[in-house]
Amino acid sequence: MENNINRRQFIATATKAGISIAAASAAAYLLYDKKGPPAKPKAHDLVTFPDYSVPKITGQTISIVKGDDRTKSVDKAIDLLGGIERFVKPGDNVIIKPNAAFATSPALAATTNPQLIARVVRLCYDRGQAAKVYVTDNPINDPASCFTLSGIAKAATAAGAKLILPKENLFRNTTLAGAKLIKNWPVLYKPFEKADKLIAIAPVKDHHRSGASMTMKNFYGLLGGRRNIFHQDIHTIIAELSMMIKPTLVILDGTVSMISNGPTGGSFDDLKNTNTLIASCDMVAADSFGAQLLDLKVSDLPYLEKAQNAGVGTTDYNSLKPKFATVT
Amino acid sequence: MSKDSRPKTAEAVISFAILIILTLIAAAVLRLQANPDISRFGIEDPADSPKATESFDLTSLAPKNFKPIAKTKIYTDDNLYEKINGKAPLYTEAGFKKLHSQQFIHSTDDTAIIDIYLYHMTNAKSAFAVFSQQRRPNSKPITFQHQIFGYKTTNGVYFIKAQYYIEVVISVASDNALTDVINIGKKLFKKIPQTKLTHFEEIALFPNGNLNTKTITYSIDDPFGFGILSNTFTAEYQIDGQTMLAFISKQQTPEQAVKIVQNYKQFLLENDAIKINPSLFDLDGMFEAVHAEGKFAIGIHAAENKNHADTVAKKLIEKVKSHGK
Repeated sequence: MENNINRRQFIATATKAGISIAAASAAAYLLYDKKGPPAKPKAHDLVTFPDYSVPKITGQTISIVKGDDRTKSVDKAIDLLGGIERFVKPGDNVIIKPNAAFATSPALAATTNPQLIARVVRLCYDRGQAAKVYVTDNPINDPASCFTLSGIAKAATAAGAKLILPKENLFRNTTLAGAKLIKNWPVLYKPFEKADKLIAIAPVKDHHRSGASMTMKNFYGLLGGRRNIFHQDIHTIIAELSMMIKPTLVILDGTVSMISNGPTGGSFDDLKNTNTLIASCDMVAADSFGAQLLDLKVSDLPYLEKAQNAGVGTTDYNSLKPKFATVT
Repeated sequence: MSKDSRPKTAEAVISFAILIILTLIAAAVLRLQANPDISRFGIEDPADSPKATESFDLTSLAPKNFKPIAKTKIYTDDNLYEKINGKAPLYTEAGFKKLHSQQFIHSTDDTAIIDIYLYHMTNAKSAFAVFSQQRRPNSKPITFQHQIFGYKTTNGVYFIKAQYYIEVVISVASDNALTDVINIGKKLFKKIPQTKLTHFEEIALFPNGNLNTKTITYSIDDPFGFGILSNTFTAEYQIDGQTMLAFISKQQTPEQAVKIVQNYKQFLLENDAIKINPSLFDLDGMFEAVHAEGKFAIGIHAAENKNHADTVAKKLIEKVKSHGK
């Protein structure tokens, strides 16, 4: 086969080939991922939250206190369940999970009220004789500002608690057995790893997506990553969160409830003095009662039934024989 | 064997033809991208569209004795949830572009915090959607210049201008505090460019008697969950203590309006509604009226009283009909 080319053709062809090789090399260099894809966590790297619950006592699972003074209400509500000594034993490490989702003033009631944080911390130390009390949440957006402006940081530290900001190294991946959504997902875990007891304190709020944000929705704050994707299936994720974590006690603060434009609110017009505080070992029951503070029925919040069906608790709070009281 | 490596004439012609076709396709794509057909691809009005570079430094709005907590922060639809969490879908589903947010704190009273939220929406209708869906029922109207879509509460002002929805709130309730946020609102109002006054023709079509103007709301998608209506204004009417919602949904063509109304009626009948007359239905003791008038699908939703539903529906039809003349 003859293949005669002249010098000019050779140079042109060689130049084109050179440009092609250079372009391919440059593209390869630019697209090269030095780190490579992250290794998937192995099954034994996945974590599971400890079970913080305490044995149930018939007739002392849920208490509902009417009053406008949070400190008195929470004292009474816990006493009705047997006192803090039932939940916190001497030497326990206690972790408190507030709702610190927004960098807003406590007056707007979008976050857990700092008075309540301070009171529960003191109860844990003074009567429960806790070794250490920690307060943590993962508000995503500038956690330091959220804890500061909500007043939670100041109240917690003044009462002797240690505030833990959600740094990246505190997250671990978890998978909830049988879950649709919580699969190999990062959660704020390390602060909870060594804790003996978990007390979650949440305000009663309207919620644009889920209908209401109370004690169960409060655990959304444990999720890391781009957790907003779960807004598409909000009732399932809330139910799964309630299956993932078993708190010692939940406190639902409906002293002032955000009845509209939640979860952010912003106007005092969004708030209503509902003067109710609930303490419970059953968060499904607590939220089922709390729904009525927002003029909602249990059926308006599908995550309640999902959680009940999963065996987390009961929506029929009356079956638990709640203890009622009023404080003045 | 000798072989000529140069293309033959026919091959060259075909190659050039393919290149020309590809060039024409690319030009057509670029042209369509530059001049989108809003009627086919969305409701964006180019006149209202924001400039990509539009940006606001809100730190200069701090009232006396207040200081910025940080620089103005900007959020996009990728990270809006970080700022407003579960309320983000309300905005992203209504056509959210960008949020500028700014906080000020009082220099001696750290409980006094001012929050400014400047939501940059796709267009004025998007802005009105999020404004109207969050309107506080006990609020009082507030007007900046000729702007009519605004209100104040005890601790905040809320308004729209062009494609922006603005909230300025303070965490303490006092006359001075409210004055501070109103003044910020005024300054912001001046800062925001506007090429034309915001006007929605549907709002003027709601008959006045028994109308609660504070309840006029706009929804891009279906406001009643029937999966039928879109681009819909609703307004509450109250007669003798009984309420109902009137709705106006403008379509591209009269034929589309007729189709929407047919689907609405079909939905009602499939859900065991009883037909009272061609436009009026009883759905589990609540009354629904639906009618096509020109490009508008209009009607009454969830009326507690049949006669009241019929009365308001007739007035609505009459007003829309006279608008089309």
